[in-house]
Amino acid sequence: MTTATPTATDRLHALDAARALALLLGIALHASMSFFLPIPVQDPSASTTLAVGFFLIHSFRMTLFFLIAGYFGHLLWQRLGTRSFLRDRSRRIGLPLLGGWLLLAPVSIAIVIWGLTRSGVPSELAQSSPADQGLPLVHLWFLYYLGLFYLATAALRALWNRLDPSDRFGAAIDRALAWTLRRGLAPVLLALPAAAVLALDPGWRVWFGIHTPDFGLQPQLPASIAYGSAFAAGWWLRRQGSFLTDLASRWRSQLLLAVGLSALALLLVGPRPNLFDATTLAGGEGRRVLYAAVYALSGWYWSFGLLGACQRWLARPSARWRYLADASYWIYLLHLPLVFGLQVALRDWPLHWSLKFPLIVGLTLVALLLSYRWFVRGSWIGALLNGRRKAPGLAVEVAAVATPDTPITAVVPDEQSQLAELRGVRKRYGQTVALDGLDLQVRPGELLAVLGPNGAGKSTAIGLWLGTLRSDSGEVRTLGGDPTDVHSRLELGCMLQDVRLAPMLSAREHIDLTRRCYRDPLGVDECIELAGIGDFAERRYGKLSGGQQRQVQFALAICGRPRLLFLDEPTVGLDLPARERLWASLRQLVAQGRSIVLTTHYLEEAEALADRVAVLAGGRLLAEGSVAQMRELVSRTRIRCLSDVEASTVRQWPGVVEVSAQDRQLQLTASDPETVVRRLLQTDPQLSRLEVRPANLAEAFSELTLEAA
Amino acid sequence: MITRAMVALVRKDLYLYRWLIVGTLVGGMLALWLSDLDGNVSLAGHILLVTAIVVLGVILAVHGPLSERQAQSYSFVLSLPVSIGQAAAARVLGSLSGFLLAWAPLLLVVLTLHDGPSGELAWFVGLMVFLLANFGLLLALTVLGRNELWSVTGIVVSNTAVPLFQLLALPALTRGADGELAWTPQLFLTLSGLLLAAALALGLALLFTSRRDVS
Repeated sequence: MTTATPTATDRLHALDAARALALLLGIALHASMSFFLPIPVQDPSASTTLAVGFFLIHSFRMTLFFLIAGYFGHLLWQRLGTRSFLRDRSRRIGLPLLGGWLLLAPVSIAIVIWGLTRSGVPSELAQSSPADQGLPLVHLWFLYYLGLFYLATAALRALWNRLDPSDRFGAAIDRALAWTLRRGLAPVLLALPAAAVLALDPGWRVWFGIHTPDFGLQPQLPASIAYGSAFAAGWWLRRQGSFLTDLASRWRSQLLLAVGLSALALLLVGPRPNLFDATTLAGGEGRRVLYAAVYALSGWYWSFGLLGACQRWLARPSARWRYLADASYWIYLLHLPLVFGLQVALRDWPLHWSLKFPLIVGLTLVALLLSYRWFVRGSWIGALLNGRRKAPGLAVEVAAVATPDTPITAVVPDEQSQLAELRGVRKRYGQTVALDGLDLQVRPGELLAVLGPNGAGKSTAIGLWLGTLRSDSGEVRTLGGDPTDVHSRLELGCMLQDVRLAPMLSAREHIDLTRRCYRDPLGVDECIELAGIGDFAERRYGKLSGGQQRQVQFALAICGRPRLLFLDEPTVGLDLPARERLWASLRQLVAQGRSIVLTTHYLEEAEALADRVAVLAGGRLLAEGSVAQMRELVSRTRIRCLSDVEASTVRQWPGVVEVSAQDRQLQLTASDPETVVRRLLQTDPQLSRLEVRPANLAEAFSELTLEAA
Repeated sequence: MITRAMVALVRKDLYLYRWLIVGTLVGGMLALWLSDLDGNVSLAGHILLVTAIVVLGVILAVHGPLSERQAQSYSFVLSLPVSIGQAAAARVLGSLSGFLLAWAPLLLVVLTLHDGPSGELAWFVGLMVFLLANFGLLLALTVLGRNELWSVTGIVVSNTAVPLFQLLALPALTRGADGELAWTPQLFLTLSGLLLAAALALGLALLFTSRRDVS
């Protein structure tokens, strides 16, 4: 099926929302700690419910975050290139890490110490052996690891380019990933590294899953493997165009599986942590391995399920979600000292946890949202965190163009962007390469003629744009979205070859029944008139000639008032008047601002209609440009005359590419026409009926495809 | 989720089969009238009724899903704002709706106008429910089978099953304690099982078709 990898100019609202969710859940996670852990202070009102909540959130939150970070990272890297990408990341990730650590780490640690002095060192902590911890990164560890992953990825990319310059291995990975994604098995594959590293780690504190590496600059193996693989997966999954659509179609089942797996994990490990012997799991090694697998798997199913749900429900622009997404980075950076402070301050309040916990979360959110609105959004801090300064209130940025300063998020395409695109698309049918890294765009208001010999990849390209095929790798976009998304197909029209329609229905009935599929269709009579089928609109389709049937199919293709129309050999079988009428209709549609992609073997048709021509052969784009530019590509001139000069003589002359002769009629193809014509006239003063003309599109096409062959 | 385009496709199918549905209704009414008469005419009425419903079922179950599979029809579907799965699901819904549009009024006519012994009604309702379940299973088979061989097998099996059920199973299921036709627990159980099987099969068919994807 089709790929629809979002381009760097598409804001991915669903991913923005999912990332905001991952960050904001961090507040709930940290706020819940004091109700079952002695960090930063043990609250007298203990809660197993909050322990379970912590367990669930912790099992997927950072996997989800790093998955999205990898996805956005690839998007940004593709747009900026490696150098600019690293420069941008050092500004957006490195500076907040450095500044945040200098300001927040001392405050957070001071509050923890304050908490310990209020409640005393808990017996659990006193009995546990002190770990060799290193520099405290506090909650900003995620920025540190993100930076490491960016650096590692840049280095691996450079190495990869050397080892696999044609990206064949990459394409194989793409295919394997696509296979697992289509079957909903990707989480199983992606959970393997985390499950393995957890199961093999003798110091694994089982209840806490992947240990948070908030101390020490030396990368910790479990977090590096688990979150590094999530980052890599996100990076790689962006090459899967239909990734987000696939997730959206499976979100319910993925979340159901996630709930089931989390329940199983809790059954295995218990609802609260054992702080006295955190590395032991009753039941032996088999149970420990099973738990590691279930835990890792649940994290991935949660991540995929939540991403899918966001894609399903939050993919459209929303001012509130956008604002929250923008604010979430600031809120997450600043929340820890505030949450810890409130936990310590409220410790001795005689309130049940069900009141204290929401109070802590609520106060933190309100304070940070207000601070974001008043001090951050429109300031240089906002520019640093969100890419640019923004107006304080809510606003949906539907068509803002992504700049290098807005790397993590992007935008919905504006009217100026391409209506349909293929970028580096590869598609194979078994051993046959149909498309081999094809790049092709359709612009608003143009008629693009796609030419090529049989097997060039024209129909595959159209199939990808229509969402009826899935690419092996590369990006496919149609009307700014995934072509497999039915919503984006509401504004498409298409007329394929060899279409069969119900023979008993009349053309009018066909149009009337088909137009109901669309939101804002043309009227039946309008359609009939535009397609020029008024003379036979009442006749049964089965009784019409082949050409008339094609005209009815054209009427059906345009009845939905499409913005983008795909026509595959539309004039085959049409007589001359019908063909001219259809040409006139196409010109009228283009004049109305609609875009048309036309494949045809009638090159004069392309010459008469096309604003732009693309010549494909062997799945590659051979040439692209206006008809005049295509002619110029073939700098050959045709010369014809009546002459007594022998063809064999002329063939020897410099500048002559090809000669043929019949009776006295000479036909030449010349690369240097002026010299050849002069010499012809000198050699044969009796020469007559001299014609000199540049190559037409058919000849240019023939020559281009011949060269490619 | 049923989209506007799916509704349009179902509507198109119903429009396409409208004369077949009307013909079945007219034939079915005629059959019911004949079956109310005496002797051989009544038997002819029964045969005509079963034939009309079976023919409708076979055409709807086989024609729609089969034509959906043909490349040329597929090409047309691709030009519409529906996914492949939605288009296939719309075909199933179209066929099912078409069958019900003829089957349900015929059943209703019998239920409202019948004035004979209730045992006769049990026999008739049993037959009608069997025909519905038979259609559901045939439709599911043609949809899930994905080639003509399955459809042909389905037609043969379902056509054979009708007379077997009518002549062997139904008399046994509707035989009351006194040997007369009657509503029996076995009849209810069998018909419930058949309907459940048909519903499950159709549910599976819809599930599978709605998940059909591009290659």
